[in-house]
Amino acid sequence: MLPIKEQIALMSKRWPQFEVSWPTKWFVSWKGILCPLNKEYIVQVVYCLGANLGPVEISPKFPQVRVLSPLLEVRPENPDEPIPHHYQNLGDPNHPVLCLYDPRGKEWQPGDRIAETILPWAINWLACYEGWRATGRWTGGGTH
Amino acid sequence: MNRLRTKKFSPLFEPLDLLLADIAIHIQLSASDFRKMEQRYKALGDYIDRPGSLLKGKVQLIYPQGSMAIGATVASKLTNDEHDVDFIVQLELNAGTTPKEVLDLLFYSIKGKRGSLYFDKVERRNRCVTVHYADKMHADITPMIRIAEQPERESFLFHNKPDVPEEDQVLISNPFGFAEHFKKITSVDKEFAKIFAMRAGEYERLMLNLRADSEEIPDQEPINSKSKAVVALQLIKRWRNVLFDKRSTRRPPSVLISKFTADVANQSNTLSEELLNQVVFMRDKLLEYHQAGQKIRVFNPVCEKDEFTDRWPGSLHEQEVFLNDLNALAIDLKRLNSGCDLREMREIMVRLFGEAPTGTVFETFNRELGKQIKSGQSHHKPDGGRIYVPTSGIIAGGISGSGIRKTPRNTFHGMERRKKK
Repeated sequence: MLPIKEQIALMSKRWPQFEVSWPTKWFVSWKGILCPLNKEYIVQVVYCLGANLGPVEISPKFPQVRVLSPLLEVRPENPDEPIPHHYQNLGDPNHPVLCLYDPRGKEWQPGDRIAETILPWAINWLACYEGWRATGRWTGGGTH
Repeated sequence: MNRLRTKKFSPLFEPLDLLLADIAIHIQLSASDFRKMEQRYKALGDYIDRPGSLLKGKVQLIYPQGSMAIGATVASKLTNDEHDVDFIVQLELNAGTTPKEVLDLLFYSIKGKRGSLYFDKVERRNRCVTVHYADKMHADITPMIRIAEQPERESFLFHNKPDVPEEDQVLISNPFGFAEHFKKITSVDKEFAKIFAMRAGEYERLMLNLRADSEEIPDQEPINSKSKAVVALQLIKRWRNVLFDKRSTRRPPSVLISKFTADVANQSNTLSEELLNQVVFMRDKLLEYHQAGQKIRVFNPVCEKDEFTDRWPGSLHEQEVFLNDLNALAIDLKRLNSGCDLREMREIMVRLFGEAPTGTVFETFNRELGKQIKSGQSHHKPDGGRIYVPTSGIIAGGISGSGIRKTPRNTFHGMERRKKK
């Protein structure tokens, strides 16, 4: 498992445009801009290693990416069709979590570097999202 | 929101520039069709000069003019992507030959007797004769008579509308001279020309694969080695064709747009910037005249009597309409450059260039992007958070030392796609 401190250092080196916030030994959040094709998106990455805080136990969570701005949108031609490849965020439905990897396939493990996996995958996701909105076809593959 | 600016290392790195280039490639004569038209005009020259022809022994020269001469062909019709190409046939005729006689001689020479090669494929026009080919191309052949002791190929051009003989004209023109001037002024930016030619070959291969066509496409065709200015010119001509497709008024001539292009050619870093520069320049030139209450007049820089604006604009109103068109185009181009997403880019480009080429280009772009991602072959640039857009011919030379990194393979996951209740 890679400590949070190392994840922060790698992110800072590879993605300096991402601002870190709430860094602790077991939790960190970053916010920054991705511009996969032509449009800019403010995204947030949240990562929690989990912690035992005495009376409270925080369960670990794999890195989660949300698009803060602009809001992700369905296609007006087919408003019933949901945006592909995301998890609903019941606490904040306007900011679903992007589903960047298949957890069953163990594509991401706590020893992996967020800077080298999650952010590039988020770029790909956003590019596929734009292609889907423009053409109706999600061409980046994926499973459910 | 300000766009993050990334240092570009390829002239077609930005998706906007790549999409614009692909539209230009889609609407131009393909390399193989270009070669076919070259063969056709040579065959036409031989045919006009054949034994038994009214013009036997009178054909001095036949050569391309206009878009084919400067490499800026675009489909002229929207519904079937028909291309028209222009040739000059230089004839040796007596000085007193009337416009009607010149055009009739050419018409009947090509038409020939019933049952001959072009008998039912030829159409007599006011300044040229058109040959319609079965494969969505047609050739406009303009007869000209060389003026002795004048600069190279400066010639008489003839206007005759059979119903209105009183409007007959003999004009002086030098399309060859203009084409040479154009090519000299818009000299090729080698880096862009190389990348564009590679992309043209790649795009044509993609299209052939889709049609399961077996034709071989060379990696680089010399005709696709062109400057940003020429590609921008092609896009502007296409936009004009789309605009005037449903209008009954005469459209601004291609030679006028070409002249403006040459005047401000290649003073930009990218194709999208070049396109905007050219449109703004043209608009400002037109505005100068319009604000003075005059119709614009533009002449061939190598032949002062050769007026490019003799038939357009017909009135100040026509000029004003086009001025407004150019303003609207400039606004759309600025919007494209200001960070809109693929969907909005497509909507704007459909409006500018038509559904057929735009739809195909965007579908192709999306498909190739997805293929790269699915196969684990995608790349990204952390500086700016960019995806590296797939163009195989460019990748080979472009990555090293550029900050581009390979993206590890992944599988998007997530909720099932269920219709909302």
